[in-house]
Amino acid sequence: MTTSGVIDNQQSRMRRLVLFLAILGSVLIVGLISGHLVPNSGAERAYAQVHGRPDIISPIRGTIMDCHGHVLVSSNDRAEAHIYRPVYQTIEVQLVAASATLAPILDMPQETISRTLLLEDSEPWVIGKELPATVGFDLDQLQWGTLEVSFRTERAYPEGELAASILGFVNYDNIANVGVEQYYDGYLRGHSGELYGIRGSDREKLALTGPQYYVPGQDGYDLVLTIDRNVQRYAEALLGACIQVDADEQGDDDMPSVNDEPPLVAGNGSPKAVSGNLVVMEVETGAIIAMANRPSFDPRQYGYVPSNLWKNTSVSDVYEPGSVLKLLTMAAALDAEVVEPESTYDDRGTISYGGAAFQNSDGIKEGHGSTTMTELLAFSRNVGSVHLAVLLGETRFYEMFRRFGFGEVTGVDLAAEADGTMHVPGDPDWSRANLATCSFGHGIDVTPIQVVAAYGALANGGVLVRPYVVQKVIPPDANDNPARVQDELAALQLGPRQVRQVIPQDIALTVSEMAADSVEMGMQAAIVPGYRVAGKSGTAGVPTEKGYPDGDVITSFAGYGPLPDPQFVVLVKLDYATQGVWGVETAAPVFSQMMKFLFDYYGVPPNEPII
Amino acid sequence: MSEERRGSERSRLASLLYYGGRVVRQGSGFQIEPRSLVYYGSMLVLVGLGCWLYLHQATQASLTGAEIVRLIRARQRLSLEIAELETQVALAGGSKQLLASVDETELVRSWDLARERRISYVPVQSSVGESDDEPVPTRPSPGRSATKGLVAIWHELRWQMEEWLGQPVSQHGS
Repeated sequence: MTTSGVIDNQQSRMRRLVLFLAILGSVLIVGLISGHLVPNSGAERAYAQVHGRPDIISPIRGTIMDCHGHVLVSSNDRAEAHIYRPVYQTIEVQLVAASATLAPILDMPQETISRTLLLEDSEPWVIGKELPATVGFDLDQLQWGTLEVSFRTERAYPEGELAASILGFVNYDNIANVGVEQYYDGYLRGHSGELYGIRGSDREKLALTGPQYYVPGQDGYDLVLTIDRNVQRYAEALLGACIQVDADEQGDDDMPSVNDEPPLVAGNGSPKAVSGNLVVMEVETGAIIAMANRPSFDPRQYGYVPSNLWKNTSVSDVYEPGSVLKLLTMAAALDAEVVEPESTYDDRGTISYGGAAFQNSDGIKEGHGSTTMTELLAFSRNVGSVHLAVLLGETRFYEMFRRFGFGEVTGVDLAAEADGTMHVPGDPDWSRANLATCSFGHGIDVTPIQVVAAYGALANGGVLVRPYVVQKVIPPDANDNPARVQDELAALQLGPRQVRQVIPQDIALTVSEMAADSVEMGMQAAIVPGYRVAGKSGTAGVPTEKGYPDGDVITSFAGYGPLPDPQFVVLVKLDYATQGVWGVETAAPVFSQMMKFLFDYYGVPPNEPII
Repeated sequence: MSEERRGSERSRLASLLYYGGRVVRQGSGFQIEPRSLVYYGSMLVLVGLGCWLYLHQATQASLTGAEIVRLIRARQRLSLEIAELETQVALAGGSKQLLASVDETELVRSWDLARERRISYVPVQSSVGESDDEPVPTRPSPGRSATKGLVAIWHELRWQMEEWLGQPVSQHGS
């Protein structure tokens, strides 16, 4: 080969070398640029999800507060940690290092830890089962192969058993049950964050080159209830005083009592019922201020009581309300103008309709002759209420009861609300006699909250409002999407909501005045001195397949006040009272006490001279 | 002659520039021209610089990523700590604890209060300097005052003065 040929070959090799270096340089430059300027792509995210083991960042469950901001339920997450000992027995250096690392975390002397780790035991050392979440977190960050840490969601209840069936609970599987915890679980729960990365062989997370992907989590929303813890506590104490405590069940130490004694129940003393409900609702807004149920349970020990005690019987259990519905029958009759407030009817002691005969509860067969509408309410004349129902007719009667909300859920924001049962013409279980029995509250199943809402309509100028328990949902401070949060809050439709105008305002006022007059005339136990309250007692037998057995009664009193501007609706319902068989004997005094407390607590001035 | 040399040197330079550096055989060995050294050396430096920049970027990314992970962890721990503290505060502020403190400080629970109410207040008449035969001054009724006009206003003013002073301003005449 000639010299020029050699030179040509070498030059071509040089050119190829230069070209290769240029390509390599270009690749480096492109890599530099893409690393700085091009955002993390979906491919990188997918790579991280496939090749990385995500660290879950658990959210903190939201807090539940009463209307004044007092915490009723808060997050109290716990951790459980185990460490396997034998591996440290032979390597003293590691043992010393391990003890030194654990000592500040566990707040234990290093020597104690060393001694414990040295024990020859195949069983792991249970560091703790109820460790605070921060201690568990610090232990988990050590990333030791012999250390196992698990977390669980737990809740703290600063008020103990207060409002347990309203609040609900979260079980060990982090599943919400009952009440507000279940109803608003999606908001309380929040959502977890995820951190993807590449781990080394020793499980240390290595923040080296490679795809890393972080999904920020969001803590749960906080809830503010309409419940006032002071009113709730008083209501529960008052209701508890009416309940016959089983010999095996001691009084709840968490329940405060006046002068260490249960609040006095006026009248004949404690009715000693088996169970009961006491509901307080604000008339104008529908806010539930208190909702007491007995028996109840301790949400911290939900697993130790039968599950039937978990449910909120004020919204979930149905019953035949009895004569408390007579006030609604009267309202329907006045609205339909089949009677007037001054109207009278001839009470002959019995009345027949639909192939059945109905008599007054006092058993006086001769009747009471000419009876006014107010007397009908005051002395709870079944004959009179059947008379009104017959005058109304089936269509107007059931339509009015439907408008009062019976046979459908009220929409209260608590889990497992029942809609009750109201048979109407056309139903296979309906008969003509049902029209008569419904007029005095039999043959119809309702929930306590439905009665409260219906009475609220009477008190609120004829406007039915939706009862509610949660007045505010507070998002966490840090959230990744404020716009989405606002949309979610708007979708909740919190706060007062009017359902419909059931009866005209003037009719509602007239009925209220008649009810107040009837209280003063025939239900004096419900009177609150200095105030004018409206209401109606009820005494209903408990139906069985064989009819209504004697002795088993559900007594109640529903009312509102003070007139002329009612603020509160109160329902007291006592099941199977053993001391006293009439609502006016058992429930009316409790209603009076509850109303008095409300007037004092909220500073409602009296409108009559107190004698 | 010198021109010829310069011309040959220029052509050699041109050929060098055009063809790049070159290795030429001279005699028994190879001679690398200095210009070639500079040329390829600078190429090597540039490539090395690029590699260094790449490694530097990767290192910075890793360090930043580690710092981000550390901050995420720190934030997580702080959230847990805040939740624990809030729970402790809530437990300390529960009704049960408050009522216990009420008992310890010997204060009275609000439920135990017996509220006095005075609804209808009738001022007590002073009996000093008055005979039993004299009529008890009474506040003129609104109905009667309305019909009396200026006289009623005068009575009203006098009644109010008597209340303030605690003694009759003058004899009250019907």
